Amino acid sequence: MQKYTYEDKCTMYLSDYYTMMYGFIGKHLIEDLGIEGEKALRKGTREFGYDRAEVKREKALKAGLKINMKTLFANFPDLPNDPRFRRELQELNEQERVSHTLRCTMAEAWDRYGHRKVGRIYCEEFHPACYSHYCFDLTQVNLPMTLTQDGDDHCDFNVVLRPENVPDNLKPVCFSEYDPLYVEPEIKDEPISAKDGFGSLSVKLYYYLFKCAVSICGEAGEAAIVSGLKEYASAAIDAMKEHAKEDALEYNEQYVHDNFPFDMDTVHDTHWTGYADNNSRKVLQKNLCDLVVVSL
Amino acid sequence: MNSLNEIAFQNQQDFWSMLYMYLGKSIKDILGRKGVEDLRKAMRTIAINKGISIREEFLENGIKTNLETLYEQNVYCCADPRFRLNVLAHDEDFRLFEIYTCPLANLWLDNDASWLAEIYCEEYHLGLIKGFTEGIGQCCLGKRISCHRTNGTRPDNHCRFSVYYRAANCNPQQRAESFGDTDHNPLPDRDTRSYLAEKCVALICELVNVLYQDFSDEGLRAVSAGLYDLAKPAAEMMKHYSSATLSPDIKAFVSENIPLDLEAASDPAWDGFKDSTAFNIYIASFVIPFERELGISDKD
Repeated sequence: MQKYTYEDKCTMYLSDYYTMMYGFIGKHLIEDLGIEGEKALRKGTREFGYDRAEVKREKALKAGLKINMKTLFANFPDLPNDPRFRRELQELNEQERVSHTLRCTMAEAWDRYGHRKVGRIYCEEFHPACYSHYCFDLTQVNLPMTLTQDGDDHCDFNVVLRPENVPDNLKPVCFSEYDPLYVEPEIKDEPISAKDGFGSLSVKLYYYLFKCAVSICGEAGEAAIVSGLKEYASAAIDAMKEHAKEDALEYNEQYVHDNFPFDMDTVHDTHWTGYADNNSRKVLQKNLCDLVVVSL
Repeated sequence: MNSLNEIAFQNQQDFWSMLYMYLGKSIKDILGRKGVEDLRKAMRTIAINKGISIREEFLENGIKTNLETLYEQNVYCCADPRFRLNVLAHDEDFRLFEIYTCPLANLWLDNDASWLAEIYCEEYHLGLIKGFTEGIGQCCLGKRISCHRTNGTRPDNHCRFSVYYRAANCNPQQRAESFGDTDHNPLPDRDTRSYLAEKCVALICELVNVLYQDFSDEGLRAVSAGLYDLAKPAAEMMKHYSSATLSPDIKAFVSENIPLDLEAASDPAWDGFKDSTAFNIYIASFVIPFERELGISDKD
């Protein structure tokens, strides 16, 4: 059996709680609001994908990299590797990324709480939005098999960017062969902190779900988000207590800081900069963070 | 061995695959990479237009425009018995299926044209779904029989399609048209030959259109050369199968075994295009040499 370090475990739990949030909020959007809630969930997931893509693209351009499949998947990761994750990479070049995900911890987390259907929506909306948007909405994202789909035993990613589909003015931006004087810069990716990565993405994911729920469903949308957050808080608190006990650790402020993606004090958490232009932060503080603090 | 009427379907399908292949090879030879770019563009345009026309036809006939109705129409595989597929799961808003044998892939791979297969597979299915669903649907094609990997991994041995068209991503009108409660009307009968004929005409016309825009007369030359190159092997195929099926009248055999009529002027597939450059190139570069190869030319 594989032995994990404390840091490994923190990465795994941060990943799980990040994933759980999507499951609980998504469940409430669909169950409480029907198709309009699902619409908000799907739209929010896509907007989250666009955001991640734009951040990544900006970093790549700034570093002098080409915007293609190779740089999308090989440079500037916004999350550290989850040690449980298993992947078989078949092809990675400027035009193609073909890979099979054999074990996906997000799918497992959704399954654990009966949120497979919600997870399926994440796979269907996030990946096409993010991967396509990174390459100026020109990427063809084929994800015909996912571990969130009944009957599939792996995820099948076949993501392609063909030069023929790229306008002439963008060809040298995307492909080295169209830029004869191009010398690929040496990029040394700094190791990314799991807390920082999941913290940042949790705020963003939540923000876009909240924003779309409110814009599409109004007050009912906010109410569904509140219900989702409360149920998420309860499940996360139970899980954190259990895991702390399993690891013979004390469930305290430090444990929550290391293992839970959100900071308990959202006012001073810089991840919210640019993502607190509506009631979103306050709703999360009250219906998630305050409940976690009380549980300590 | 398939039955006689199935052989006609096979030949019609192969004719389309050969038409695309000879046009594609000619475009690459004469126009290079920029021409291939136009080929891809044309394929996507044809597919989107086809998707839009199916959608419009459904709406005119009171048929719901969802994935269940789209695939009931059998738009992918026509009647060619060499297609073997398995639908894994389906509903109005999704369809998961695998294809295990594909005569298009076989023909192109046998002729060292996997690059053409790649363009067709990547553009046609995606475009059709985009057109049919007004850009909302997703068509994911992961595994592909036509895929030839060169990095040591095994090529795919089947195609896997997952198509999604979700009501939640539709506006209220699209939702009502696609997923409304009312039963839809029965689908009109589809004629495989006319479906393929329309696809042949669309390919020739769109290529003429896009290549002329980008390459002027050189673009037309590429289409003309591709059609001319097709005439001989297409005639050989017809002669072989008419002989193998003991069909004494080659002209009658050809009329049933290629999707287009040799009397092109009265072929309904060309309606709306009979004054076009594409039509004239087709007659001059394919019909006349094809008839000569078959020995049925009135002009000899």
